[in-house]
Amino acid sequence: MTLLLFSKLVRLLLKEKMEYRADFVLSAFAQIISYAGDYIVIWLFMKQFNSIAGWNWPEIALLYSIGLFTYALGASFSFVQMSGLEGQVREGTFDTLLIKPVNPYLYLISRGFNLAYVAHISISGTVLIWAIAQLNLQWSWTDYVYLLLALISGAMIHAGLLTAIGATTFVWVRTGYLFSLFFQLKEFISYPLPIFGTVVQLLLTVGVPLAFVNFYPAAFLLSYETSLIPHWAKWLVPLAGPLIYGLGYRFWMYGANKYQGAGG
Amino acid sequence: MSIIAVNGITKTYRQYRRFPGLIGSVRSLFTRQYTEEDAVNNMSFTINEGEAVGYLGPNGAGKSTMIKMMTGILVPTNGDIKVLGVVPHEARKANAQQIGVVFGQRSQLWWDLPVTDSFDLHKYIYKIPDSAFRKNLELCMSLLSVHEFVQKPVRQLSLGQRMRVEIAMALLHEPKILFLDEPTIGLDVMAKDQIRRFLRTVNRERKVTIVLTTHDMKDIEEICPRMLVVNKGSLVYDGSVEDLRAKLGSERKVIIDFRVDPGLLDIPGITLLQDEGIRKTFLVPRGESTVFEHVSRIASQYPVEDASIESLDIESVIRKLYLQLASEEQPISKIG
Repeated sequence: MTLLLFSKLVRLLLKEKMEYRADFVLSAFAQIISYAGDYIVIWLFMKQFNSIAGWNWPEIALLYSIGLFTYALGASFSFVQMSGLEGQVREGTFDTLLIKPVNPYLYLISRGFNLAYVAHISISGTVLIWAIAQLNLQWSWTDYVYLLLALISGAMIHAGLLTAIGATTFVWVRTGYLFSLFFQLKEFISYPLPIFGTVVQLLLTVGVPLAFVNFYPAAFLLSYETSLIPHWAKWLVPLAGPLIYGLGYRFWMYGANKYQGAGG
Repeated sequence: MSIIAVNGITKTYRQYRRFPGLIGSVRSLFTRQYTEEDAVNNMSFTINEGEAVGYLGPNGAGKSTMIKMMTGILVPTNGDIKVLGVVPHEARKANAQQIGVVFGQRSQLWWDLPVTDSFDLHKYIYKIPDSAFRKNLELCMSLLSVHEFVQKPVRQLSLGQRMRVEIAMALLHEPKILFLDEPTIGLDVMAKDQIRRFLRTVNRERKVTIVLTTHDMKDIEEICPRMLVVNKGSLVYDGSVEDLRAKLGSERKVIIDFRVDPGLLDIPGITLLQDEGIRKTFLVPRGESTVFEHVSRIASQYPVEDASIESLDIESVIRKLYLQLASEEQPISKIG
């Protein structure tokens, strides 16, 4: 599928969204308020305790913002698409995807590209920039490059995991609880990993590797020790995204072939 | 030249047992317990270029499954299938480029946007050259009078208008074969007529091969010289409407209007088809006594207002075929 087709789809999506302008603006507004609330809760918490596992408020804000920013970026290409797959498979509209001369995965994620995440992106992006400024970090350009790579990788981790969950639709049809499980786990990465026990740390590192989204990149950028990943592996961390996304995509395509075999 | 060749195709749905809850679904993943059901069973047929074929059968006969295998949506469990020289599910994209598919119950249009936007996107997806796109659009617009509502959002269209648009869109990339799954379902008589006329034109003049499933026998009569009838996954009839009528329609339908309701009539040799009180419809086999003799015998016993004799319409022929098929499986409920 060409970039041209993607831009064509985005233009149509924008047009479609503008049919319900008020709804779009209101829900974006609601999202910003809801996440602002989350920030305030963490801020109040930090005012009380000053630091969690040695991380102060701007550092926690940086950690949380990387998590939210990458989630928004990854989810705009995957969440609605993958959670909606259940309905599409049940109603048979997924069939119409397989009769187009395009890659069904790429078409699905582009067709469902969710512009509503602009709300998440703007609030988390703003806080992220504020936190970096606040911390008065003496970053070299490699640190900025590392942050950029971490953001891309984090988005890919989110998208990859959501894609993998979506792929289970082809076998089980019902997937709602897996998505809620994902969001439960995602709650954990709002805080530095060391506050959790070894089991949770291991789970978030090797089981559902959400710690690679924000904790490991932030820890390396802020020069914190991490017990599970040695310092020399710093530059390997941003590889987690492409790896997980690649696996998620493979799994999804495998699932789609299963669908072709089993017929929903 | 055959452009669809189906050879010994079987499609078995394997339904794994599912367990409730989160732990249950993990268990479901590893379970080996399943039930199998053949939706299509050892089916073989060929369709030649330029044909218009009606594919029909009772609900659950495996019609949609066969269409989905021919369009590359599903992979057959067994057998060979070739559409335009390629195996549809293996060369899914190449196949998609060459065929048009219309689902009567599933829209492929953008619900909130004007029709033109869906057409425009279709042009990109199928990489249709400008000139061909304009030409095909013109043709479809004039034949289906789509131009009246081409600027309206799809959600504001009536079902009849929407179906016309769906069909027009499926033809924009000049497919060699057009598959239609129940294209006239839920439409009014006028809309059905227009779609049938259009499909006939597309088939006869543009030589597009048509394969359609339907429950409306008029679709078959008006569009398809050939029909394939399936039942329980097997092909039970392949031929023309006329031949089937000749084979099964050696019966006449007699509608008798009585002056007063004679109650339940049991006349040996003929079957009561429909009972609406004073109007009763009988099925009279051509045999020793003629239709006329039967009618006059009834008239001598009951006060008859009017009687009319009809040849079996295609619907009754098909109904008879289905009933016959059902009776072959359950000899007790034998009809006629």
